[in-house]
Amino acid sequence: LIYRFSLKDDDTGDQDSSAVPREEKSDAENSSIPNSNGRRKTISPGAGEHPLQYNYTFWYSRRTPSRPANTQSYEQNIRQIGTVASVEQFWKFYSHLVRPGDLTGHSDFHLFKEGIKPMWEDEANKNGGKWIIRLRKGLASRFWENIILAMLGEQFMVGEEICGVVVSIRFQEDILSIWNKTANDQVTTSRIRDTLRRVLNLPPNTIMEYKTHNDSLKDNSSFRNTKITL
Amino acid sequence: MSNSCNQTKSCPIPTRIMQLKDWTQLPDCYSQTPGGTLFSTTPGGTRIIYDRKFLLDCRNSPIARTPPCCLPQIPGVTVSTLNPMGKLQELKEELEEEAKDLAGEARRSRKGAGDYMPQSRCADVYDLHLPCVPVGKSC
Repeated sequence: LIYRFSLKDDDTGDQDSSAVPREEKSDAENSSIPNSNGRRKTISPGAGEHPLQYNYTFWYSRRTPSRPANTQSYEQNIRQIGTVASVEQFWKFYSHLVRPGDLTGHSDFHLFKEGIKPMWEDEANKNGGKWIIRLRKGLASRFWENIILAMLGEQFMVGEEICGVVVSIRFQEDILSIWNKTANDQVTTSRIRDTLRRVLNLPPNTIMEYKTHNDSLKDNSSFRNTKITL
Repeated sequence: MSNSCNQTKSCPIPTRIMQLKDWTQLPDCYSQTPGGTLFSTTPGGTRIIYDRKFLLDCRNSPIARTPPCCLPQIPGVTVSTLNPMGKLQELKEELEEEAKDLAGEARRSRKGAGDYMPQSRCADVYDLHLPCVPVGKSC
């Protein structure tokens, strides 16, 4: 089935099969997660669009704080919004999402490489960890934008290590996280930390915390008991 | 083989020495490849790299402004139509937020990695007599 706009749309591209895919991908290689219709689609840049190094998927999650989180309920509370393969496709989605600062309740936006679920248990994440930066209220929208632009623009220079980024809106503070595949690879984690400092213009005394996903699984918490770095 | 070679006079590159008292005074573009990253090499081979300014410039292209075809409707999360006045308000708020937040900081904001704008014709030499970084801290 081909999606068609009812309005004339010269910019056929993102989801239309008339766009020439950049590479032939067999279904086995195509790691795109089925969308809500259960269909697998190869997302690729449209004609005239600027391709990204990787495809990325937007996710959204929300939970009532009173309910305890477990893997099953987390998986059910998180949903995909869309996958993008080009700069233009990214802006299409991003422009149609509320800014994180305007989200209510206990909510998260995630932007992860296609094929990697924003869950500790995903294959790509099981040996990984994340840097977290706590933000006072009012900063989330701007920092989220800057961190995703840095990730999409390949500013981190750590090969395949980046998995994705998350912005978590909480009661009194907001938290930015960046997940990488290998928690004990100190060269990678140091480089990510240093890049974060530059792309987010962090003051030199900003506290940055690292937590392995294994530790998160053990204490069933994303943001407690982290390793603190100055 | 001409034997009338014009010797050009050599003159030193005009430089300007800036004394910095703090790491925050380093400009964002220090040691960055224009249009690239702050790293001099590309470990892992050639990658598609975009700097922040370029990505932001793409935001206004007509392709980028049309709605995505299968955006789920999640009230309070997804926005089906862009309100032009709303966008202006958003930009205004963002500027105000930034101005408040960066009062007192010497650094120029909104110029992320890769925004390279030479301000003067001479080379800026940064005099890095900065406070010692204590052991255990990384810079």
